[in-house]
Amino acid sequence: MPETSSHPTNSSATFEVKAYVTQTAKLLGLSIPPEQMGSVVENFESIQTIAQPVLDFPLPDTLEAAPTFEP
Amino acid sequence: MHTAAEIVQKIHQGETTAQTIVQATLTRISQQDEHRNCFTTVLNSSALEASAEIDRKIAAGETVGPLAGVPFAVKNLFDIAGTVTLAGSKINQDHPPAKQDATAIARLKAAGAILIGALNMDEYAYGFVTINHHYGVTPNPHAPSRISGGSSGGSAASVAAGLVPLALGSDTNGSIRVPASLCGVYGFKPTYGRLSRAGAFLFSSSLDHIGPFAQTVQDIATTFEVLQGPDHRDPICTHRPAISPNLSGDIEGMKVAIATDHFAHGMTTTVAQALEKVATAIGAIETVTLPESARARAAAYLITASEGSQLHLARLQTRLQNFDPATCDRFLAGAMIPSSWYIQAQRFRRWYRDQVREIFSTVDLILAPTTPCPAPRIDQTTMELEGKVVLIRPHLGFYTQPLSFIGLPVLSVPVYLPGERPVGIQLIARPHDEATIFNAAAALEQKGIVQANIVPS
Repeated sequence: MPETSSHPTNSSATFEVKAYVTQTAKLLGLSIPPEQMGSVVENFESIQTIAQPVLDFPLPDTLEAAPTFEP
Repeated sequence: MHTAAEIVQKIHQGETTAQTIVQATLTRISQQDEHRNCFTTVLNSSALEASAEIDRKIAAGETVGPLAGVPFAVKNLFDIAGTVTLAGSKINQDHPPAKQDATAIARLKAAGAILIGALNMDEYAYGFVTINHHYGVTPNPHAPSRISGGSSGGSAASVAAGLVPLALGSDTNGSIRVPASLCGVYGFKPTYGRLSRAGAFLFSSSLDHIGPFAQTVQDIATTFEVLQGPDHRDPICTHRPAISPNLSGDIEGMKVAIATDHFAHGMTTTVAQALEKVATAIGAIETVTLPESARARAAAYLITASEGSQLHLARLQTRLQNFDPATCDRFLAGAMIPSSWYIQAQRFRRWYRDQVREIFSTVDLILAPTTPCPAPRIDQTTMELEGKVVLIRPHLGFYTQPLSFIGLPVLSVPVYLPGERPVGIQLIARPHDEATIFNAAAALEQKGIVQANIVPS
């Protein structure tokens, strides 16, 4: 069995989603109106929940993505 | 309303003309589309000119293609030369008109088909409902208080309503199969890379496919046949040889199984009965498990959200207020997905592909439901399935997402149970084996198990 790796994220208890969204929006040049912020945070939390099982899944180091780029 | 094959035959036999067919199509659309809300553009004059040209060629004894005189329409993310490609958005109204037709449109026109117009969709294809903030709802032709499904909702509804016999859509996570299921027509998503996407405004390039909607297996097969072929304008378009569909319906020796686990839960009784009806008719007794399909669905979501949001980042930066509220906050959140999450999803995609390849060493065709339920009401947000309340919008892709994730060819075939709204069943084959799907679908159609009922006007 080759070496495997998974990427568990920090638990949301210690991760401040609103702070992350606020800061990342600045990094990406996105001006999110205050009235939309709650919904964007909720959407990101939902993505975190969806991502968790994918990140938890151990994959061997030898397993690469399947690129389609052909020079 | 005739099927494409009937139209071709009637024109060929001199019983009607392409101009008569196209004029009748345009009249039907002008009479009905105010309440159907399928079309965002109708190309009256160019369609009439094209039909006159077909009639002229036939009269002169010139060769015409296998779809000569057949009207078709396209989801409004396909480039139509001289028309602005909306992709369901308000923002793209400011784009210049397309310079050339999308490859799929060019190939259908070369086969003699006549482009009638462009069809409604969810904004930037991000949705399963075709409730568009800018262009309105496309109601289900079978039940106008219900959704058509999406994101190719205008395409499915235009065929179900009998406005056109053929339509094109695109499918990233289920956007051809979901509306085909809810509208009770055939919707085909071939293998990833089989058909050129050039000139289609993409959503998530890793997962985007294009494909046809029609009333019969024959029409799906003919359309697929003319759409095939390599295309340097689409970097993932295959160079494999084109295939010729076999519609004999002889399925002797075909090994068919029902997908279990993820694909056996969370459906209404109607869907379970439709699946059983198809499985019995085709002799599917065995079950197969596509392992980790829930994770596959999640990974497909991460790739879609990452790629879609990146594609629209400049528009999110400058035109945020012009996005559909239904897509805006999802795009914003998707733009913030860390790259390692995206790459893990892409690596998992290969892992899942390898597992499913193994399964196809023992079976030829797999059955699964297309949607968990028949068409929900337009105003409905939740539904109860197996005692749990679920959000309808994301749940509509429950059975379709894991399959497009690894690019398998899938045909959604329509099943009508007495007194029930239609639902679709997915016929799934190994990559590049569309031929098996066509043959199985032809067998089911011959037995009267699957059929597309067109709503009387």
